[in-house]
Amino acid sequence: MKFPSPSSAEAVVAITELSRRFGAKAALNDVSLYVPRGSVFGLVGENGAGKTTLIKHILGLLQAEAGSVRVFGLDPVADPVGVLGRIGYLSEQPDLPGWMRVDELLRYTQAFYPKWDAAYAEKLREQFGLPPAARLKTLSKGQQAKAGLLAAQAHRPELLLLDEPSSGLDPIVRRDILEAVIRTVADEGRTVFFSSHLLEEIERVSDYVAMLHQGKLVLCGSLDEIKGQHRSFTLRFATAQASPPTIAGALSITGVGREWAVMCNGARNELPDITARLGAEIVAEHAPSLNEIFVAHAGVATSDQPAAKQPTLD
Amino acid sequence: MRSPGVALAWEIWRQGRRWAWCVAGIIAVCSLVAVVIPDKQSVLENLEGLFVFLMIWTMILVFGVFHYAEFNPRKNWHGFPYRNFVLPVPTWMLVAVPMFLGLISVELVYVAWAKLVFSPLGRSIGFWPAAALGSGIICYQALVWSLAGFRIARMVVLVLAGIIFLQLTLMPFAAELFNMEQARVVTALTVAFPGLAIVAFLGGWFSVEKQRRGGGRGRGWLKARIGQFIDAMPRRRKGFGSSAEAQFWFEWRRAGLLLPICVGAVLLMIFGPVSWFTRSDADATLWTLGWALGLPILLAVNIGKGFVKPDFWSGDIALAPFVAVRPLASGEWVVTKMKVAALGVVIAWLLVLAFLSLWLPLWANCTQLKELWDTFIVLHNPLSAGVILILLVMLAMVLTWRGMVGGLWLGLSGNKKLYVGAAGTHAVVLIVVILGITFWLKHFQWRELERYVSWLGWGLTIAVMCKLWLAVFSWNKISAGRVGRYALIWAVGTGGLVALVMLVCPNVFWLKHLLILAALLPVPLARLGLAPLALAKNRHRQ
Repeated sequence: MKFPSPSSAEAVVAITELSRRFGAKAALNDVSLYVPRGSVFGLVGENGAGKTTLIKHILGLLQAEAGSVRVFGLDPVADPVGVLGRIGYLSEQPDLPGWMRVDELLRYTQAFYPKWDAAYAEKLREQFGLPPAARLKTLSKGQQAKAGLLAAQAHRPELLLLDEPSSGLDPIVRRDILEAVIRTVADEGRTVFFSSHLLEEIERVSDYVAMLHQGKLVLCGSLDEIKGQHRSFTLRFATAQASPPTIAGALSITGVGREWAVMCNGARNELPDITARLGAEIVAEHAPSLNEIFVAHAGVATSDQPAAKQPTLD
Repeated sequence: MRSPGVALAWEIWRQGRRWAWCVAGIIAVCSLVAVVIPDKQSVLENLEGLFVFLMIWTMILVFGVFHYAEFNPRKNWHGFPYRNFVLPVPTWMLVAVPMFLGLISVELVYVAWAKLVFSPLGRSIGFWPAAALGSGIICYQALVWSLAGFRIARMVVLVLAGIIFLQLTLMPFAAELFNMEQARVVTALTVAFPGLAIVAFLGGWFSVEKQRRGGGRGRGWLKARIGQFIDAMPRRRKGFGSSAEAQFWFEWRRAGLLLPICVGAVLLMIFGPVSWFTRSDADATLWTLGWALGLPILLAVNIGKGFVKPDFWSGDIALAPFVAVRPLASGEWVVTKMKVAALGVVIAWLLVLAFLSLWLPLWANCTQLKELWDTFIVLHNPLSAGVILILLVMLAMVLTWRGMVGGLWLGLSGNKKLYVGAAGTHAVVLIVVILGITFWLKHFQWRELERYVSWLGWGLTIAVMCKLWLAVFSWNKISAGRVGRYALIWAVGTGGLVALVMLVCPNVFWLKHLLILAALLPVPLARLGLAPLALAKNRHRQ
């Protein structure tokens, strides 16, 4: 699936037709997406959808098999120093060296980033409650995530890359991470790209959302646009339906008996006619949450519904 | 699988089955050779050494299979598999299964060598060492699990335990030294080894049980004291001037001190006592001196296998994201590793020289050494002798450094098959070279000298040509400035070796030329040029 791109000047990350296989498994399949400067870009997808693989391509830790990846207009594989110097990265797994102390981590990291803001780093350290002499291995998982975030953020990176930053963390740490995202956005011109399972978080802070499913990009656009395109309807049939009504193009159909919920993508005008033909009426309509949209898209891609000879949307 | 014991055994088999087949294959091939070749005497003369060597290797492989320890990143230790602690199995069984299987396996392998390889050749190898091996594998496992949190200390303890076991095993063959009958020594050890195995089992059980209940490493008195000691040591509190300086600190903290610590520990714990107990023996002085001078090189070759990996302490040779995302050029990272290795080598050699400067004048019997020195002074004037000594130390340092960094291009590649395969190839090449030299020396004929010289000359010339050609290829993509700097280092190192040859070598035309050709080989060139490319490949995986 391809999505319209902003001009190259606007895109901090430009991924074009990126494909990647691990053995027989296609981890990424013809993915194209663009991350506009100054935006918060949320990447969602189930486990194994290819989110971490995509982020590793942005970092240059994986070479593109097909397609291209450009970050700040540069190839992260050909020019790792030029790209990585402008990125702050927090990985899914806390991979900080356990033998290091918090102050050593900060001094070590500082050496690589000329724009390191020592006062800001110290402020964040105090805010996160990280003792400077504590060894990283003695910190809790949440504190380690905070230490990683501190190291990723203190040089005020142009692009903050967060790979499942709040996975397995308590609400307090999750709040800190979200605040970090908001802070980074508040710094003019900075961009955040983060993947998460927690769709409420993405919904709260993202300007743009992309959804990966089994290595394919199934959804990409601004959050408002996506939410505006999707509608959820409740259909009531005259008689109880033994099986779900078949409405080709519907993203999901759930329910039992006479009442069925249908989620559609940008086709609210056509649905009344289709439901009438099926002998049903629309009794309720609401804007679905991102969570519902995600589940619906994941379901569509999995179930591989037949589209022919059915009343269709669009 | 109907019982937890079988499931645990199956897991060990699954993890080590390749090595188990390898051991079986080696024994089968050797047995075939021993049985099929009719001239047993010839087999004994030419291959017995190889068989003994392979037997030792198969034993090492068995020990490796039953090492049964895993790295726990959360606790930052390498000990008994932590995941097993949640199995509904009593701790004694968790400990007993790998120990019992290890015991059975090592005994089976020993019996297989005795009955299938050495017996057909008419060689009867005693079953006595089997008791030591059985006890040894249980003690090994117990030590590995009990000292999970003590990385360097565990290495030292394992080496010392190995030496003690070897000495105990050899005791019956040197019974007269202790004024005892061989039979009595054997009887004493027959009781001692199983007793030791039982104590090791109980110790291992106790340690693993303690770890399972959240105790053990990190909470022990000793660990707390070590932690306090380390905390009290001066540590860097100022920032780094550059990213290269920061990376140097990082690498140094990870593995830089390992070589000096190991050299220092061996000097203190082995060479110190040995040199004291043999202080009146002039022969022993020469042997001890030789081993002391070879010690850093031998240790560097072994420590270097781990040093060349991105992280010495990790079993994974892929680059950790924490390091991979640093904005540091791959070449700079390789240079940092080379510098760290160089500093470690210098400190290690300073320790050796400090030991020698204390031992030789204070308690060594230097009679024979002095005779050798006097002869040397007669051959070379004192100034030349001094220069030669300095150059010899330099050569030794170069060889030590080479041992540390020679495999960087393999370790940094992130390709485990390449890394393990190269280690295996090195071992095979080493065996072939040793066997070849042994065979050559056995059949050496002076009248063939000219032919030998010609072969050696061609061999060395081809090796030098290959080295230079590969160097051009491997340094092709490295920046000119870096190439220039290392070329200068290589030229100085190699020039020093050539100068050493010129000073030491007698004025024999062919010998001098052969040695000059050989002097062009030790300082690594081509392989170091490959290291940044290998690291870049690891960092940007295809």
